[in-house]
Amino acid sequence: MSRQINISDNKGRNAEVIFKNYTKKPLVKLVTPKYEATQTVRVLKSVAGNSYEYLLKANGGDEAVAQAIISADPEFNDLFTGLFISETSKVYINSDLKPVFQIQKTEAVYLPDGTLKEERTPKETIANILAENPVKPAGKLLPKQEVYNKFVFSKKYQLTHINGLTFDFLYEMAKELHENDSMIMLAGGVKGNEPLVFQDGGKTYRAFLEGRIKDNTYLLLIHLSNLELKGLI
Amino acid sequence: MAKAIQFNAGKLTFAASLTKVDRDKVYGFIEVKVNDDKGNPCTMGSLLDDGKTIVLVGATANKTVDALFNELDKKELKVVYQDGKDAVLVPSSYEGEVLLTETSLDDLFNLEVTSVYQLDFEDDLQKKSVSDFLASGKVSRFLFNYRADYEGSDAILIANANGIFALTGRIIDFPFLKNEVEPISETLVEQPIEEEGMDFGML
Repeated sequence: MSRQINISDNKGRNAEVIFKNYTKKPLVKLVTPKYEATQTVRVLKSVAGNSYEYLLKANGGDEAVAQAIISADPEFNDLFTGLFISETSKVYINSDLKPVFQIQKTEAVYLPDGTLKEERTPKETIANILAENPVKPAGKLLPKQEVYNKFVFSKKYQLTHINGLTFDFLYEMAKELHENDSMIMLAGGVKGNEPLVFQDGGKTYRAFLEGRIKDNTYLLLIHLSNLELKGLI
Repeated sequence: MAKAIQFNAGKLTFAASLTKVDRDKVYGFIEVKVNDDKGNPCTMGSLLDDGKTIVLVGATANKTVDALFNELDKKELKVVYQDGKDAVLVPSSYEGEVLLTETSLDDLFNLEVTSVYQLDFEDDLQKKSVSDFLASGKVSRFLFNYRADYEGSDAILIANANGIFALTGRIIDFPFLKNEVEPISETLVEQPIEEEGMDFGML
């Protein structure tokens, strides 16, 4: 599934284009002994009312839970156990295993050695990839030969044109980066100096734009990084 | 030192063990605590699509079934390539020699990185030789398989002033785009774009 991004080039021209996330198909697959196709399904084992946590509360202790399991199979639910499920929604639940509608979040920040540095209220982030102010190149060109071993570029999104005009726009961006054998950082926000946020409440990302061209084709990738290549030893 | 992998890059052969570079060990980590409005701790659960049934973490399982949804015993399943031919086990990188081949920076930039390892050497001279070998933008590629399996990971070896690192994951053959709509390659699958929970505390 593709998403939209409002991106500007270094001449201050912007366009809304789409970006896609690809992964490689697995090389192998599982088949039955007769080489027939298989599929993986998600199966429900039990619901909250059959859980150890619920049974412990309802029975008052491990011994009583064990007796209940022997005599009445309360860990099994003939309506739900074995049900194939697909989509579920994430919810926060309290110790009574009921959904909670009002929550308070705090962040505990730990240092690399595991000691607590501080506790704080999480900052609220607002998506800035499709905002009024486009995502734009920030800073100078970064030669690939200088950055390839500085960061771990873990995630990649491919920018894709939606019409002939945006083809030209993205091709030119890729061409400039290709000819300079360089990448450039991307930033969002009014001042164009904020890390990218892809959805409201989401994490912040440092992003690098890389471009290549071949004949009349282009490849423009946004690389996301959350790690510098630092040693531990 | 942990068990070493024997690398072979033609004239240069060396042994090194791998230590996983965990982001938490580099920058630290953040633990999010969630409480209800009375200050009592909350945990994460799932809500079924009936809108009322709660499922706790660990209360679901993935099962392999046939076309009629009969459960299949994992021991009886066969592993085949996508074309249907029997798959061959790829040995663990810790058994035998791992061949390094020189590759381009494009392969590095096409690598969707899932793990980062730092190479640990017993012999400092050997470490220097490898560092020299990987100097000036040179990168080497190999197939990494922690344990014998049917599909190893793509891996790239690079060096910087902090050490020598192996980045593992999958090298993706991104399509170069023309000014026309084209079907994507059969070897690629378009993925939903989701928030991954990455946190970036550097720079």
